[in-house]
Amino acid sequence: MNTPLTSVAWVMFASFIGSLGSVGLKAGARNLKFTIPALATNWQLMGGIAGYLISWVFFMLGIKHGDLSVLYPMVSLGYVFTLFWSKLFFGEALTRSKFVALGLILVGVGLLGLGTR
Amino acid sequence: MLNDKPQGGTLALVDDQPEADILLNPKTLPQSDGPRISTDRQKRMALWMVIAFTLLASVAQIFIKTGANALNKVPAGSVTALALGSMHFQISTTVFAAITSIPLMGGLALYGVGAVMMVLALQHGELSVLYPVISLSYVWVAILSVLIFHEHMNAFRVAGIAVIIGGVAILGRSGSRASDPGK
Repeated sequence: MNTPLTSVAWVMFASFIGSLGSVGLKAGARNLKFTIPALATNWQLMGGIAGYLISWVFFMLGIKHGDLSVLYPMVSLGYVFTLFWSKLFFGEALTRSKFVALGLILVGVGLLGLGTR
Repeated sequence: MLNDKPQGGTLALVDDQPEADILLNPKTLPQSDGPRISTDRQKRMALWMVIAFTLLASVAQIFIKTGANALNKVPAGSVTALALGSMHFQISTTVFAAITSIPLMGGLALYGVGAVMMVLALQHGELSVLYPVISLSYVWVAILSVLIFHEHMNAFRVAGIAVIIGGVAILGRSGSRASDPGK
């Protein structure tokens, strides 16, 4: 099946927004307090959840057309974005083992995509 | 988690709201609710919670797939969702079927439970370690597709599953190692 470039673009955009959502969730999780007012005013957490929902809408737009075995693995590109966000926003170390692990994951996801054809 | 450096862009999200920072920074509070610097045990727990989240999310996805497939068979049209006197609020049959679909709503509910677990997990451990662990959901989906939808297991799938698990194992090691400073 042919995958239109617009579908690829939507899915990539979705994974980008999703990775930003993960930053919101992590930032919000650091200030987590289990009372309803505290949760409702945890704007980072709420922003993270909103990011995920928006990302889901774009993903759905993207997978309307095109080959799922190509589009679905592309979501894993979000992990690459997240690696850089965690350095930028949380000062996490980008170690070699993280890059190796991420590389393996991307290869594995690609292999699964090939196996789904 | 708390050894944030005050300088640089690392705290940009919090710096925008200094009053929130003072309120929420446990260092400025007389008592904080629980230890905020994650122990190795908490970091390992966080990893396992993300792994559990991926299983939940994959099961949810299969529910949603089943529910969405059923939606395609719903004839187009509209139904009255709410009748107030002479006013009839119409919604499309597809929307009505979606709202009342048990697999669809059940799948979304599972996602909700999974999201709560994910946030709890993110309290401890690094985002750069925990987030890529979500790739295990690809592994679960591949396994569940074979078990439930009787898709064929092939060499690509076996290799993909093995390579992803290898990558996650490396992350797991770097995530629960004591030498890795907790963030």
